[in-house]
Amino acid sequence: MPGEREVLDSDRPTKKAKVSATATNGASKDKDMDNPYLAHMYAPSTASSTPRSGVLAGQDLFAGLTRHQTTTVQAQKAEDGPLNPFTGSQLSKQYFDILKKRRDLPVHAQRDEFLRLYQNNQILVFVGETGSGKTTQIPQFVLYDEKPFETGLKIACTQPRRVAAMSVAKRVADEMDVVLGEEVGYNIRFENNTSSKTLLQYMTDGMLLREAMNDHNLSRYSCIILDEAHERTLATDILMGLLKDVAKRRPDLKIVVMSATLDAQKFQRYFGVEDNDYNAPLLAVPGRTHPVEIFYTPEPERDYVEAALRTVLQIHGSEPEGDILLFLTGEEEIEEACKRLRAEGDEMQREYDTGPLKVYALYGTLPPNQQQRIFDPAPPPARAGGKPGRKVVVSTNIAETSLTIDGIVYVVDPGFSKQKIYNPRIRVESLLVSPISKASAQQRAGRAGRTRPGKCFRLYTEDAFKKELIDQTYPEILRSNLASTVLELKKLGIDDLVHFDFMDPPAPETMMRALEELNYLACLDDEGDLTTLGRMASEYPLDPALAVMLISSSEFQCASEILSITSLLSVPQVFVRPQHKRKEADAAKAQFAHPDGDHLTMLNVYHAFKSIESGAGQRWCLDNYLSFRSLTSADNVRNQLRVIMEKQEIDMRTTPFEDRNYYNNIRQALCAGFFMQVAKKVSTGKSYKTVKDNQDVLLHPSTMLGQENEWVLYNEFVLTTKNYIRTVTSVKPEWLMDIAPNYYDIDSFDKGEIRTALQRTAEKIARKAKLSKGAQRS
Amino acid sequence: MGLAGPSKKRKISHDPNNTKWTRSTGFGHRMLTSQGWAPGTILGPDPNNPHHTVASQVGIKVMLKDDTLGLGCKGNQEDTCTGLGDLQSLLGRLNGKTDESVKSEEDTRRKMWIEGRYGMRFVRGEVLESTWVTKGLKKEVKEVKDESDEEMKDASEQETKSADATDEEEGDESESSKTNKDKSKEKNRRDRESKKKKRKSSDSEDDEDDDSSSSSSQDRKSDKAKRKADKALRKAEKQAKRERKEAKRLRKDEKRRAKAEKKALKSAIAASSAPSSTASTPPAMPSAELEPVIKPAKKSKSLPNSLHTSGTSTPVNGRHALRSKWIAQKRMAVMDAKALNEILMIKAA
Repeated sequence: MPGEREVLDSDRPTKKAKVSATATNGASKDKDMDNPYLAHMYAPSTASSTPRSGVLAGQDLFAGLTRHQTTTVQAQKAEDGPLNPFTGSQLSKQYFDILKKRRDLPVHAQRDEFLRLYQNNQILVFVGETGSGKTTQIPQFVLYDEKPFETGLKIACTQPRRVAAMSVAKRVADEMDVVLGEEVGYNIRFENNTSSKTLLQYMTDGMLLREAMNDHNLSRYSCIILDEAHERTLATDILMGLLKDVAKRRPDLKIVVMSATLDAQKFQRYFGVEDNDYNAPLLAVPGRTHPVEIFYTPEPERDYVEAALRTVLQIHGSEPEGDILLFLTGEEEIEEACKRLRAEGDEMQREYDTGPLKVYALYGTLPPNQQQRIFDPAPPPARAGGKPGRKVVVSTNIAETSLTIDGIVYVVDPGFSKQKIYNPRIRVESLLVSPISKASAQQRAGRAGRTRPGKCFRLYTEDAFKKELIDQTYPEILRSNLASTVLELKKLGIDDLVHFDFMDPPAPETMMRALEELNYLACLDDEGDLTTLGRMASEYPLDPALAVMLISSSEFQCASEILSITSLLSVPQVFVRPQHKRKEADAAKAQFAHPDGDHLTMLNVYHAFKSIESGAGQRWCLDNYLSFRSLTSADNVRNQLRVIMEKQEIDMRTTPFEDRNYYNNIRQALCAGFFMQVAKKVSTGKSYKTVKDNQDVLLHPSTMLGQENEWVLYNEFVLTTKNYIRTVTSVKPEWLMDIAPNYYDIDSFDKGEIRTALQRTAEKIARKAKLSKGAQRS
Repeated sequence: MGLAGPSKKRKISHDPNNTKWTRSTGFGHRMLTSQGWAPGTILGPDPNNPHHTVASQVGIKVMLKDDTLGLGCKGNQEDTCTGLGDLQSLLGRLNGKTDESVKSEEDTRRKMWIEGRYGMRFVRGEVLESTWVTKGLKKEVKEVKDESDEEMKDASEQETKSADATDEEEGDESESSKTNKDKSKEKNRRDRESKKKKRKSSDSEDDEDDDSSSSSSQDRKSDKAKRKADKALRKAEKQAKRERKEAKRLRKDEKRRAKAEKKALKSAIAASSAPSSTASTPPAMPSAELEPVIKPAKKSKSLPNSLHTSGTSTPVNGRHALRSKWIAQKRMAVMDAKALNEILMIKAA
């Protein structure tokens, strides 16, 4: 689900850390200026104030260059100015400053080779190590060769993350001395910053996929660059399969697949022609890295967190200057580790006269201003002549590939990360702590060699590295629920799911589950064709269940409320529960509690939030232990979804709040989307059993719902030592049988409590119907 | 785990993996089969692609991890033990190793570990030159920077050639041990070969030298090269000598073994009334079979004599069989750290 992923961006390795940052420290500013991912942090350059004479005038500057026959010399001449070849205006001084630096980038040395391969092939695999400059430079190389103002066709460069697309576009606009949004723009979900003039467009992979749904041939583009293909996001994987097809239909379309790891043979083979063993051509450019010494423990560690902390302190005590990066798995673990490191660090400084130790946490859900602090320089010595200070960043795998922190010399790697895994048998997608892959371990180690030779301490044996770690991290397509992917594929006109050319085909079971789910949701009919509802649902960047719930909400006269709930479910948790203030946080939450369930509690929160006048919101959230960021982004998502709903002419009239059935209607509408995520109380004890899949679950302790409810609908299945269901709301079996008669077909259930309960409900319904009929007759 | 262990109650469903669903042939199953999928196969047009993983067939299997056990740590710590190093050095001394050798061993071990106040010890691993996975590519790029392309190619050719040569030689050796007769011929050839190798090794070493210190000035390089060449010459000579000696020893071994085998054969025949055909084969077998098996495994040229005696297929019976079994067991126990712990009753620290 590309859409939902974008909303939940913070859960993934992301470059988000640098959003909305204000450059405060001058020391790192110069360095940051060069970092394309930080480009958005700085005020627009003088470029925006230069007079523009339009694109037409610029074309003359390309005189002598023939499309697909340009050379480096020609392109460089055009780059050298003095007029901007794309706008015709005078180039600024900043442009030439940047140009000098650009020419030093490793990719520049191989521009000739790139052009030769690019011109002679339709599909090119480009492997560039981090720091080679591929993301910013290659699209520009293409720009000079493709001459999009002649053809009227754009160049697209995809990024897996919204923030990356935004900030790289900004950087490239600066590099080309044009205004962002004109010749160079970006198009991410909820934000389209392009114009008719746009020649080069950075976009998220999910966005390009959405475009492909309505334009199967991607006819607006002459070249498509898939960047960060090694991350193998769901959208990139589907795009690759799609582009292979499009390339056959459109021989004029050029495709460049860019990856940062050298598992390029796989890409080469994939984009080659199978019949005659032809592999797609490859160009590889190394980046600039320093050697990293790797250390292993002689024996396996009994407690990796403990070992990690001791290693960090040992490095601090014995190793020369240089910052430390420690990889841990999740927010709680990281916060705990930071606390202990701070205490120990202070003690070390007092008792052993080591330098001061500054500890920073880094994870996706951290507020941006705190994420930004990891870029602060290491602290100075405590006193003149004392030992230099040191910075420790304790991070999730955000810092593994996406985000580069300068000054890191030591990396401590326990070998675990939280990874998304989907189990089709019990239909649970969860984040679980699992061993990383060899490729990940190397990537982590590589982080130590960005500024100077470094050291990487692995908290496992060399033997374990060789034997227990898989080679490559599994691509997202093997780890996700495919319901929304299948819906997208159907919308893309791909009906034969069995023979679709996935780079890594998902397990058949996962595919089956997805098809089944869509069938129950009535997005696919019994022949497997897309229904009207399915077509409508595919317009939403949401999980199909949520989309269906949204579309059918008008039947229950609560579209507006369901819209709010859907938005709240698509953003990170709105309730904040700090470690040391749990009681207060719980008390604050109780104010909003609704006896019928957590969905309604969340709705109460949202309504309260909207009633606070703007400006006071942040303060109010702080007082009530709510996440201002989540609530505002929910508000944003809500607006976007409403636009789609209005386009589909969904009736937005709602039941008045005073109506007796106000909440009942909402609960029924919830059933319309989540009837497959329902659990029934087991008669003995307080556990529940999920319907159909028969898993024993407990209500998550965070719930506001009492234990006495027979049937509950849940948003999330949490896999821990005990299986929990989180965000639950009580429902009635009558509703379920009424709304999803196919799924609640009594004959399809095994003998057991659930079947008996359903039978009893069916009898009750029949009796009622008879009664009302009788009443009518009399 | 004893009573003191934390009790983790965990309720597991009747069918935690929902096998009921996997057996059913519902809508999803029907759709896939109608499009040409057969149960047990994977999706996609190219099912035989070597790049596909098992995950494409059966999905990703994971274990739920709810503890902080490190990677590779198996949990029950009672029967593994740490700090055997000290004990081994003690045993080494008891077994007659000199104090110096034990000390030097300890020193190297200490060098391997970075010891600190916090008790974390590490073993030095490889050096990561770059996150670039393919080593060859990195090398190529580096050398292109330093030297001309062709020179590098030469070097690599040389390297492969010399590697071939050594391979050949090894093959020859194993062959030579088989044939006892053409002694002199063999010797001549060996000499020739060692000469060849001498030349080659000096060449390749020159090249290596070039590679490693390409930045150094030209004359210093040549000087060094000369020294290196000299050294290589000496080395090659030494090696040739060693090889000759070795061949001799091998031949001696061979003879001894043949004798022993003959003896064994005789006794076997005497012992078993039936002159079995199986008994007649072994004498020929070991010389042919044993050599190539041991050769690649043990790179050092000297083979421990014990291997020869135990390696023969001489049937040992009665009291001797039992005794040799005991000996083998004892030897195994001393070699295995875990078993050693059991003998010495060491508990994990």
